[in-house]
Amino acid sequence: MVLVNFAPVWAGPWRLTGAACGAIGVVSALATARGIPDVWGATDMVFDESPFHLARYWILSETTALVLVALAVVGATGMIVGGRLFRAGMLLWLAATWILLAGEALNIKAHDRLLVWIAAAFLISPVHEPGLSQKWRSPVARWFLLIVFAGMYGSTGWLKLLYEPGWLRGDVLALHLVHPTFGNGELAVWVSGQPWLVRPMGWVTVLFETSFPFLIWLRRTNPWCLLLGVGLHLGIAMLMDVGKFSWVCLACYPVLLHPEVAKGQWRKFQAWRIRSNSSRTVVVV
Amino acid sequence: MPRALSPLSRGSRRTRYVAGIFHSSTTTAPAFRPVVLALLASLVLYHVVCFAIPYGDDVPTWALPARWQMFTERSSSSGALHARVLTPSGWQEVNLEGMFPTRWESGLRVAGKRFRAKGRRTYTLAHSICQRHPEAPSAVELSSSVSAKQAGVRSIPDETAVKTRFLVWNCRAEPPSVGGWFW
Repeated sequence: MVLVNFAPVWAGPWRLTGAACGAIGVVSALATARGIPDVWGATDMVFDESPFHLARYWILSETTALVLVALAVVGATGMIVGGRLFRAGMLLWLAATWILLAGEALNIKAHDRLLVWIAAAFLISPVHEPGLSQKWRSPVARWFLLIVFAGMYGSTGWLKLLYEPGWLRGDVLALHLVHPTFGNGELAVWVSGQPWLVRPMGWVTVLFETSFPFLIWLRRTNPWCLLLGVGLHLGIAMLMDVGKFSWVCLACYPVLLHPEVAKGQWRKFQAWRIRSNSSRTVVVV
Repeated sequence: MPRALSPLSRGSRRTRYVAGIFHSSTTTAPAFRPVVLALLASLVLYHVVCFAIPYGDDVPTWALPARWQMFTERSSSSGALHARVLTPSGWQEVNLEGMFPTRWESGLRVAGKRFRAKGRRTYTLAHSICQRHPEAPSAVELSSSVSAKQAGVRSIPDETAVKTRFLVWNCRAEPPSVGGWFW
């Protein structure tokens, strides 16, 4: 009796997810560079922070921080290029980024933690192989990423449902939208004042997050679940300022999409490309 | 011939040509499947245990990687950090954003909740203000204030909000030292 199906699944989406994560790595490393003089260049503002306590052993100088940012950019570029450069690039980017995070230690965000999980998935995935659109590989790496995302969305969703009823009334979301740093944009402030908007937005958020751990595994509901997630994350990107969190999540959606659906969409895309190319063919008589 | 693949991909290896294109298909070897399933089950269990930590309790370090509480709790107010220095001409307000300009996604680096209570971080911050202020102050006072948020209204610092002083730092005091190798 087969309880779990280890049949190979289409590996094409890993290339897209890998390159997208690499692009996010480059952009975020360059953004970090802006803070070098005021953070790692400030020898009077060194903090010994848990859980790393890096400053007890190594206080990063401005020059070292600059070198680490450069290494992070090089590593993330390797992820974009892909192939044999991917894993080495990813490990370089991860090491450089986390030395910087541990050295500063006041700015470790949810997306930083999520990227570590994603990196672990990459290590056991076929992302480093060339020609992934013609390959079928073990489903295990995808299952790993599904469990991480199910844990993330499910955890925050069920905590909202069980402990913060204001999410269903809309008032919790309304207050977050006017947070002085994470919100407070013009559109966010206006939306915050519209109960007819924030209430259904709160329902959709809680519905998506609580149902994701269950529905994402089923072929029929998987694409709709992810479509709702795209809407959620684009909404977060438009209304709030939470850094790269939305883009990190969306970068993984190609892998989270059911492989048969993903392959079907890829075939449609290829057919469209062939039709576009053939319609542009010039016949010389 | 494909290179040796990892245990996750070794196993029933099939290759075929479809429409002239080489297709490669592999999956986890049967011998490794129970181990893989056990590890994935452990991952699920870890996430469940991290979720089960009572809401509102401090999250232990081992659970941080899988505890996701992003914007879960209500946030009815926003806090602000204020600083004043004691100079020969009296107490003066300090522009913290001008003195420590770096902003992360969570806002000004020194404006977070962790800087609004007494502790080693705030001693370091206060001592840094002593060093950076052009008038060589003799003391630094740190205080925090809380402003209520209102739906539909942009949050701006409430100038009339009550400031609660939590630290007065003597600029002659030794700051907390961090003994790492500077490189």
